[in-house]
Amino acid sequence: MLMTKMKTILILLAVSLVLPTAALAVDCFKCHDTAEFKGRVVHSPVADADCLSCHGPHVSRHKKLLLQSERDLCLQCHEQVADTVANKPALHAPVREGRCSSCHDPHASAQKKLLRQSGGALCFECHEETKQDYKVSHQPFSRGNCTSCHAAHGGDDNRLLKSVGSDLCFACHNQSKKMEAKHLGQDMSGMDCLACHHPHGGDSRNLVRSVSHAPFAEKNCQACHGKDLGIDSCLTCHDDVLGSFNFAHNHLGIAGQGNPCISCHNPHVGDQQGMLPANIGAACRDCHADTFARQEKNLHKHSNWNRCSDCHNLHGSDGVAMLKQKNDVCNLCHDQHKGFTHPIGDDALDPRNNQPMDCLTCHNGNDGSDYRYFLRGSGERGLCVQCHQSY
Amino acid sequence: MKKIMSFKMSAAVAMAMVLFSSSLLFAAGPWNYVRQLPAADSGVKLGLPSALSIDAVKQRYYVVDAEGGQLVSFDKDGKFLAAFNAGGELKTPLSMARTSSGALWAVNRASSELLYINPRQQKVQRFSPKYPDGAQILPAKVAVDGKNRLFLLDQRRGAVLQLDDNLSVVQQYSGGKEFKGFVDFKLKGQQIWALDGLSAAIHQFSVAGEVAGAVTLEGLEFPVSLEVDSAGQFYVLDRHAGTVVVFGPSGDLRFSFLGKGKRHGQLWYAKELVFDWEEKLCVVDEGNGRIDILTR
Repeated sequence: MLMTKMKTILILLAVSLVLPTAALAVDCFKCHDTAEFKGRVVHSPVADADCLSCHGPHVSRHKKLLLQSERDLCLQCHEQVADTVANKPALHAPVREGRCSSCHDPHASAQKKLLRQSGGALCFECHEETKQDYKVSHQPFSRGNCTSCHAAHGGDDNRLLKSVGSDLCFACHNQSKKMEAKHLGQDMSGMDCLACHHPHGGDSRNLVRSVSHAPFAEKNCQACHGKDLGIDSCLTCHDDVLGSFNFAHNHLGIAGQGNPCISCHNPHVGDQQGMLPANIGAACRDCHADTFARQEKNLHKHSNWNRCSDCHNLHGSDGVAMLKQKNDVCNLCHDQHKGFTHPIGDDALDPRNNQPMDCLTCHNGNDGSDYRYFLRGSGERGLCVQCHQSY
Repeated sequence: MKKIMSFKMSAAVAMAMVLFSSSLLFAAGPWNYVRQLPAADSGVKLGLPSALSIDAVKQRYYVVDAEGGQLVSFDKDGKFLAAFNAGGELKTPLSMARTSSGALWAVNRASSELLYINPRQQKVQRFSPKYPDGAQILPAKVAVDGKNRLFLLDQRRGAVLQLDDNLSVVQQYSGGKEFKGFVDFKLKGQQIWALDGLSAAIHQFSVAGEVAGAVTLEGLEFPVSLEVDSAGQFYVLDRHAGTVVVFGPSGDLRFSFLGKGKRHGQLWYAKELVFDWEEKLCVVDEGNGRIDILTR
């Protein structure tokens, strides 16, 4: 008897709790097509028909009538991601900018983790330059399992790698005797596999980067090793290069007593001539972390901003920022702009410092900015009044 | 050469007195803008000011203009005195130092040489000094101390070097395991202070070559130059941030001033800090084509 009464009370209590929510959900779905909220994976508030856990029914300061900003709303429940945001030095741009819905559908999806598309297809939407056909592809890459190696939200490494050095690779690859023999019996625990192996693909089965330094290709290790010559290790053969540093600014003196050349050039293999990485910015980032940090924070930036060598002479230049052709660098690509630009050159002096104006006076092609065309201020007024104070 | 390097006691004493009195007169207070070199209305133009040398005895400023291939002098009030191109021999000069006899050492970057210039005789000698192992020194900065001893910053190994009258290396000053290479150094009496830019560390040596210590600095983006005031504080120029950041003798952050931009009180890819004879702070600002002088 007592049990029957308890059951009745519990049923009534459950109905009383569910009914208002169900009623509200019904109200929402009067207008919003329920088909848009169905999928193989459904966000738990949607499954519970608890629309009001994320949306206000009447008004909101945030788009889509969200109760909070997208970032704050998501991180409220997804504590693990919140922990990453708070503690990891490198964050994926959408995470840093609080654009969770760029990758995740907040209601329902056919993909796990509510992703908008399957792994690789989703990543290549933004990382288009990464989508390449290789003769031989690394299996996670060809299968679109980007998260096998990359942490989607954030990590300790700017490439968002799950771990660095050989630890990343040894998570899948066993350190065999054969592999050790290939690496001359060296201790592989401290090696940076990615220095020589391309993690996405290549021409050979071992994914070794495509351009080889001649002594390496010829297995003539003694041409460079066994001598502690610093920069002379390279100058012994490449002495003609030394003159390319004879400019007001250059990249010498960056490795102490060591060899400055290998700060940028891989002495064994690379993706392009000069044994440089395909992503040239990867060679620059170690020393110019501050520039990359500013670039990443800014809303608008120059296209291909990661290809530093498009604008900078990497050995040396007489320009203040080692620019090609000093401050005339923009004309290398934007020559037609000369016809309709604000006056520049020796006849148009910047009143702030009496120096000739150039494209970089108004555009920040290096760091980017929060304004369109990476202007250094609002094009409507803020930028112009720097000089035209009566404007 | 021996004669050129000869020790001038009177000049050294005068310099020491000037420095000592300046430390008493300019002890503290906010930094204020005094003037720029060249004055905006002077008609003098600097292409790429890359370094500044001070003559504390004559109270003159010598600006090295890399783009113009010239050395430009100003008096203590900032009045333009003369421009000198050593008969066209200066090609992308980066640094200069003046001996007590009035001769000049200059770093000629375009040829990676060291020039010895006797302005009175209108004579220029070119040198390519080498390490004892035969490796060519790639000079970036030059300085002369009160005893006319010659010091170079070498870009080949990132070290500060002391050279004798025959331009042989007699002393090398460099860092330890984490050393990335010095980008600037200053001579203060018998001490050498050198800045390792990429490691953001200041190293101290005695002229005799003993390592006196090193401090690591926090919070800098791209340090390129240093100065040391009479109270032992470090002034570090952050080229990318456009600021001068002041640290205590143990590397504790004290304050920073100036900022990135093109107006007065702002820096645009500044290159070097130098204290003048009154411990006024001179900032060599490449991007703005001027030297800003500040006092407090």
